[in-house]
Amino acid sequence: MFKNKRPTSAIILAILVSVANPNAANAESSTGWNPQLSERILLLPPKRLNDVIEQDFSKSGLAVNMTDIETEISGQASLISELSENLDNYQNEAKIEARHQVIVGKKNYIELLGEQTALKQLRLTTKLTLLQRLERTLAQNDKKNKQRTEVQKIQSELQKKSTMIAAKLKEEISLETLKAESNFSKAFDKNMAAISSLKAAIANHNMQSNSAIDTDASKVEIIRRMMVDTEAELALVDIENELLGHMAHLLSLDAMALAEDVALQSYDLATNSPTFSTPSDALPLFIQ
Amino acid sequence: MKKIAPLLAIALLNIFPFGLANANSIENLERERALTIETLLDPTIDSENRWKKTSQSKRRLADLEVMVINDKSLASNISLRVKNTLKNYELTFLAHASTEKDKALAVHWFEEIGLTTDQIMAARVSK
Repeated sequence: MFKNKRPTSAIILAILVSVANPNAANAESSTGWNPQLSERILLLPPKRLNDVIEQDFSKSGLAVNMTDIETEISGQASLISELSENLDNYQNEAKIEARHQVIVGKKNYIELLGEQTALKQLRLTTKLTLLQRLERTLAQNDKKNKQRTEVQKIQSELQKKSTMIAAKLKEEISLETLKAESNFSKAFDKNMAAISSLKAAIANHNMQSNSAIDTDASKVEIIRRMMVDTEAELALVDIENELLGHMAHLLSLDAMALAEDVALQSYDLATNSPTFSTPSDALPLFIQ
Repeated sequence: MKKIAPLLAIALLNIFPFGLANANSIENLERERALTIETLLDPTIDSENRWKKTSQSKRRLADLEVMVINDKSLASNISLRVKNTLKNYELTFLAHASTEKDKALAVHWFEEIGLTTDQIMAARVSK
């Protein structure tokens, strides 16, 4: 079980290097997340945006990588816990060896956490970039929509006026021309009546309240909220990095303590063993 | 007559107050409106014929105006011409505007371009 030998300064150095540069583990990794989402995602209801982004992420190599590391972390954590629980069952050299194993396990655990944090950071920065791109697209759409809305507003006012005087206009025209209503006018009235009843049905539909928020404005709002959430997660990852640094520091102190204990044990062994440097020390050899 | 000439020129320019719009519905309305004004200004036809022709034009104009008012494609065609054409209700939508004001189409148009009976009567023929 105990194949590894004494803790050395190399372990401490390795811990500190891996924590100080958690991206190093990821730098070699070719699996990342390149979002396959186009601006068409904006056609979806705002509430679905985050789900679709997360769905795209779950299909990426980065997600697979993160899941693998997560599994390794769980394995490593249970190994450390098992070793720590059994530490009291060992004596002398075996105990030192067990402590050494715990330190090695913790070192591996911190390395894995460092990798996981780097991947988390990569996921969040990629998501943030995607959200920023979507926000820019929405801002451009919003500019176009504003101009479009102006024309729609004028047309809406004109429609109101037209509806108000439609009957009067028809009466005047029929009196002046002595002709029946035009085919267009008849068909238009018929269609408008149909549109009105459909609009009423839409307004009364129970799903209408859900889709009513599906405007570009609310999308911008939701994307901004998602960006704030992502930035908050990034800040948490930074704190996690700091936490890892402290863990590594503590572990290096543990390793130093172990190294000192090992040195002390060697010293004790050396001092307690008989020396024959003086004639009186060698006396037992002669009187036996 | 010389004083009236510039007024008529302005009036003719007002047939296309903001130039031709890109949308078909607006083009059709502008065309019909131009023909109506041509009838109003045609000195070769008598008043009875003018009334008859104008009434028929009004019927067509009313339909075309409704088409423009309800044309959703205009919103996607964001041009200043379209916007200004729609904003100029009194001159673009002659049939609707004249009915709203309880005036004959011809009277409404003349008034909108500043040609009232008083102004014409007050005009002085000079060389």
